[in-house]
Amino acid sequence: MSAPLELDQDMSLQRRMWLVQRVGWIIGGLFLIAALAGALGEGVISHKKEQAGNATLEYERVARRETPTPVRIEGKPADETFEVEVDRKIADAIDAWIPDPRETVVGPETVTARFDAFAAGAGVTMRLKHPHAGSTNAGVRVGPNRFEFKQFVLP
Amino acid sequence: MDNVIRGVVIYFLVLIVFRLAGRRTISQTTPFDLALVLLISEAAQPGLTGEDRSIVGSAITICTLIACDVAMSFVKLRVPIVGKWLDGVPLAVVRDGKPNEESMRRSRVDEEDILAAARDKRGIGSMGEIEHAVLESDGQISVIPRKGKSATA
Repeated sequence: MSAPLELDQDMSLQRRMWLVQRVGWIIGGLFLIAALAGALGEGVISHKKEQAGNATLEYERVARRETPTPVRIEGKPADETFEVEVDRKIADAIDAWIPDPRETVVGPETVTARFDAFAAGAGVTMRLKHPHAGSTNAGVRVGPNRFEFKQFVLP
Repeated sequence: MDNVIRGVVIYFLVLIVFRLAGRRTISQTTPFDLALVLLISEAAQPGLTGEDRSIVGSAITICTLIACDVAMSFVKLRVPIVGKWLDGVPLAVVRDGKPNEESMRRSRVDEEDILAAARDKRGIGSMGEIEHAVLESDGQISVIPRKGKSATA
């Protein structure tokens, strides 16, 4: 017969810990499912494609801070210039244009990028890289067509 | 400011994830587990420093992580229940020679794990020679042999 085991064991606390652990696993699983579905950016839930006239705007409704996210803009150029105008408030988030615009005009309210129609082809990509988390609402004009761009940026 | 917030958030995120993963996962360190730790540190790195590659930025992040750890150790000392929740409590997986099936199953510990610890620490080769086995809060398994069985460790 050996000595009894002196152990600071609290089974009720241990059972609560196991319960919390299981709940944590479920939350982790839901987090992964949300990520796969695109609720955290880049996926079926997040993807949005809008059409106005002969122009389309394609982007993710959910983006992540400091992570590049493309906004695909398509339209039919009126002449030799393909013009995209976006509200000035998202100018800070514009990381790049693909292809490079022929010229960019920064006004008090808007930023206008003009592309050679041949280089732009059927459309251009505006790559955004948001410096801050939160909701972003901005107008995007493609020729005569105007879109309301709404994107939520996760931290 | 940004580096401090990032450091605090990542510290608690890693703390919670590792706590939820459970003790056993951490204690049974295989070469793959080491690779996993490296991968996790790589994944956490951009979240910690963002685009800041400066020495000052790194220093702020390191100090933040250490400060969080020191603060948590004080909290655990002053409020023991926090320590129990964060570090876990010892759990008898074998008591009086009888395996505790519920504790083993929920802690993901099997007889082979207990026998491995018994062989390694006590030179014991069978479950019949084990009086008590305890899964410690650091994930190690302590083995107490039956009386009369020699301890080699």
